[in-house]
Amino acid sequence: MVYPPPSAHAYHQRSQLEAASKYQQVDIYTLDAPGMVELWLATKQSEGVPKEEAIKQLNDLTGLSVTQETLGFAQNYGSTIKSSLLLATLGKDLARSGSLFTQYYITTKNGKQYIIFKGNHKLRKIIKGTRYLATNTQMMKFGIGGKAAKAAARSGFLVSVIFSVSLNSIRWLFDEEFRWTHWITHLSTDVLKIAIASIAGYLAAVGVAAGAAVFAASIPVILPITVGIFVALVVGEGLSILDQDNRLAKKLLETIEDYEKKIGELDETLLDGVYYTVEEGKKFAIRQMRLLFLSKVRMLRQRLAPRWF
Amino acid sequence: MVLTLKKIGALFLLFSIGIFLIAPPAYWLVLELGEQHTMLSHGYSVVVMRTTHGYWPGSIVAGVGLLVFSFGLPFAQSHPTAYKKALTASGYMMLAATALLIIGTIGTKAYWQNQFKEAGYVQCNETKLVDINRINQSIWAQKMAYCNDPRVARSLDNLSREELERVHRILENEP
Repeated sequence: MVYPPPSAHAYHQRSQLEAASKYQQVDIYTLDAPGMVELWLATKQSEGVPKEEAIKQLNDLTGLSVTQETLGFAQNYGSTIKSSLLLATLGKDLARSGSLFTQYYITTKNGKQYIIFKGNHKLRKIIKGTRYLATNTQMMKFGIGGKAAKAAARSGFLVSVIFSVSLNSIRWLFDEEFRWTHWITHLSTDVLKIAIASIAGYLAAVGVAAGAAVFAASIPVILPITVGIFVALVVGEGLSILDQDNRLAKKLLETIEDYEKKIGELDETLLDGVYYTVEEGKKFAIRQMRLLFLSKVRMLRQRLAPRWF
Repeated sequence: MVLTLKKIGALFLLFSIGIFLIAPPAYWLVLELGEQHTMLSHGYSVVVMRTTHGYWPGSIVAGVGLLVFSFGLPFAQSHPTAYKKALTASGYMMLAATALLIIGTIGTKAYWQNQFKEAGYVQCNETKLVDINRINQSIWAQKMAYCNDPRVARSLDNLSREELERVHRILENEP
């Protein structure tokens, strides 16, 4: 043991020196995202890689454009893809029972709606029965019947909204010009368009099934579902054309940014108000303390020498 | 075959949906195809590739299928054989429409990408140029430098043909 033991300060200094001596010299450059990209491209070009090729390599490396494209596709067509996949599964199952165009009709008994399927039910693997309650889980999953079409439209809407949130969040994270106000406006307009398209698709599917019911006729399972998918697509495209220059999003963005500015101004006024209140409070407290102190001193003096008064 | 008011209403609804699936998509299909060809033939510096028309053949077939079904519906009770034939035809059309939707989506994009590449265009990252991110639309330029040109970004907003012509004039007149 070394005596006297080294002081804590000396020990701390030595450990700092040891840490510093590990590095000979360190230069730190701070670059923002565009600067970093430019540096990367310049380095690649100095290595003899053409600029176009370097940009392609950068895209491949980050994988951002691919992610954005995939999410964008899923956002726009997530609902349609989901319905198409379910339709394909359903079609495969119905084909087992003899016909791909297996028909169904809706009937009401004791106030309950039933979906009756035609064809040989024993050959089917998914829709094994001939009669299902309209609220049956399988019917709901495949969008057969009015209630199920509603549930399918709702879940399709949710799928598209989830992808829209992801896509816009990625842009918010990586695109410096894409602010929180853009995130809100893009998401709001996307949700609005998806909701309108989903509702239109649902109404069309229900309308077709109801039309057949009026004539007491059976209908192929795939007919209302396919019509619903295409109506949602046409309405979605119609909305995109109507809002081609993103007028809705721009208007919303302007409004939010106006409010943001006003809140900023309000913030300054609020801070001024808080500062004034704190200052005045401080003055008031000091004044009160002084008064209290003086009254205590006066009382003490009275006790010590009451004869003086 | 007696057509009550309810039945007439139902038929009207079905025909309306059928027409809705045919008329706007047919118009958009012709319009977009014409625009794509015009853009390529004019050789604009910056062009927009739109591939929405890939969905519309499917939509038109689905619309026709629905119309066939609607025509057969009044005969469901009086002529079940005729109705069954209409149902089968309509079912095949719906099937074809779904297949066309998938083929059209992939095929159209592949076809136009090839056409644009052959014409010497390179694809830009459109989110850098415009604030509209749509999966069925992409921006292509004759030179990659145009994709990062702030003048191009400033001039583009809704990607109309007028805007693309303006951008072309700006870039053509540069020294």
